[in-house]
Amino acid sequence: MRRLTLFLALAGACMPAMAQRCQGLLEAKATAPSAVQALVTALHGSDAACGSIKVIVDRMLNRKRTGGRRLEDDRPFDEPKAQANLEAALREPAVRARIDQGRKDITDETALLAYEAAVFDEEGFYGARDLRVQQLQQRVQ
Amino acid sequence: MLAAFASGGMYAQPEVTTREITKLSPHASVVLDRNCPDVVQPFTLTDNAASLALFSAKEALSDISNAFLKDPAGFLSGKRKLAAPSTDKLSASARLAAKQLNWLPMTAEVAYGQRQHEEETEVLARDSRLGRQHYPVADRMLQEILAAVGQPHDYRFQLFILKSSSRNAVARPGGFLYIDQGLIDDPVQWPKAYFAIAHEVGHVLQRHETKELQSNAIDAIESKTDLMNVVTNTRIDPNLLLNYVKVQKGRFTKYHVDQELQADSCAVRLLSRALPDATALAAAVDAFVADLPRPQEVQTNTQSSLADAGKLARSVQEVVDSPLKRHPSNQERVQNLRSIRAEIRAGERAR
Repeated sequence: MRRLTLFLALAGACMPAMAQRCQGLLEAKATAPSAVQALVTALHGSDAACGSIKVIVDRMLNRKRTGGRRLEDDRPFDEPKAQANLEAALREPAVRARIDQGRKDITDETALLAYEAAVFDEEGFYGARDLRVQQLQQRVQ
Repeated sequence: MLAAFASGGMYAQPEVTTREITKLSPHASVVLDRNCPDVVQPFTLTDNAASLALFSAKEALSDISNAFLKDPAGFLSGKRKLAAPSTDKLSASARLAAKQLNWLPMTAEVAYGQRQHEEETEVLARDSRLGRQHYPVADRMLQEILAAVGQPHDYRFQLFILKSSSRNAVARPGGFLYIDQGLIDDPVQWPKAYFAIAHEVGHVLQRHETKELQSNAIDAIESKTDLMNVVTNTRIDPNLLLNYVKVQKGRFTKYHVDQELQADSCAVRLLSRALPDATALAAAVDAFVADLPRPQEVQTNTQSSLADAGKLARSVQEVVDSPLKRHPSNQERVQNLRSIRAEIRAGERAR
């Protein structure tokens, strides 16, 4: 119950500024495994944007995009490229500062990975984000 | 092949436009001309019900004549009687005929696309720092391509950037277009971005996805009365149609090889008009070809092992659900692009 309350509090905290982008968090509550719910809860109060948390939750739940005509087949995850993207992200002072702050504030390693993934998403370092999501998926399995 | 009836023809009625359906196909997505002679699939067919009625009437007449020809003596002697021209049961051929018509109203198509769009979580917000940086580039590309369409259409295209470093693009019904940020945030990728957007515009204007939607709706309709009901009433109530389709199953994402090749051709046609010269066109096409995923790069569903019954079952299900879900091979795409470019060059020389 406490977890549910925190979850709803997080969704509520995101609104109204990010209301539209955070709608999916409430939906995630119904279907997400408790580990994912716990991560979302842990990010409550962090400076990660709601929209980015939602992206991480969706990716962790392996939600596939629905419908549509794709230009070409999707490529599999390219880990070396993602690693290089992570290094590039950490060379950016603004990103580095947020990550360092997170490492100070968040003690739980899994929650920290989720936080970093959300920050990389917000800052446009998607390879780094996907690397963190992959690590998260391995942890919560 | 759909052939437009000239007004004043045998079946013509005042102010009713019908199309004669002379060839049937099991799939709505059959491409009649891969070279994309018309970038915009005709959508002005306002009386599809009339076309369908015409087809059904012809079919009923044909049934009667066939029966007569099989046993003329029986009919002449009065031992056999002519059956009623038709029953309410939807024949297989009427079902196939309906698949070929573009009767889905724009409101239903947009509602369907909107529903899919709302499930897309990775859209870069326009008002975000990165959004303000990248959307002007993507929007300008789309505007240039749309300016080259040169034919009227009912679509209001909306372009969204996806938060992905990949270099893919997606089109959904109703004019919802998506392009990966990886194609926009690096100017080196812009030639491919042009191709990608033009390809997706081609899919929409050819109504590829919409035809799949229609096809799935038709498959769910059992009687002629219901079919006519849907065809005539979707304009008033798009939900009537949406109630027939199984949106959640994602069965509308079948990648039909010919449709992909046709969209490639449409892209080349559009870009030959939108880009300033042949060099820019070549750069866009070459960038697309050079970046095509090599076969070993493509994600497959063959990761299941025999020891893992759950994964195997899932793979089987995917095969059953998506038998046509594949892109053309790189070789097919390159040959098709070569062919359409040659055709365009020949057309320019002839002018």
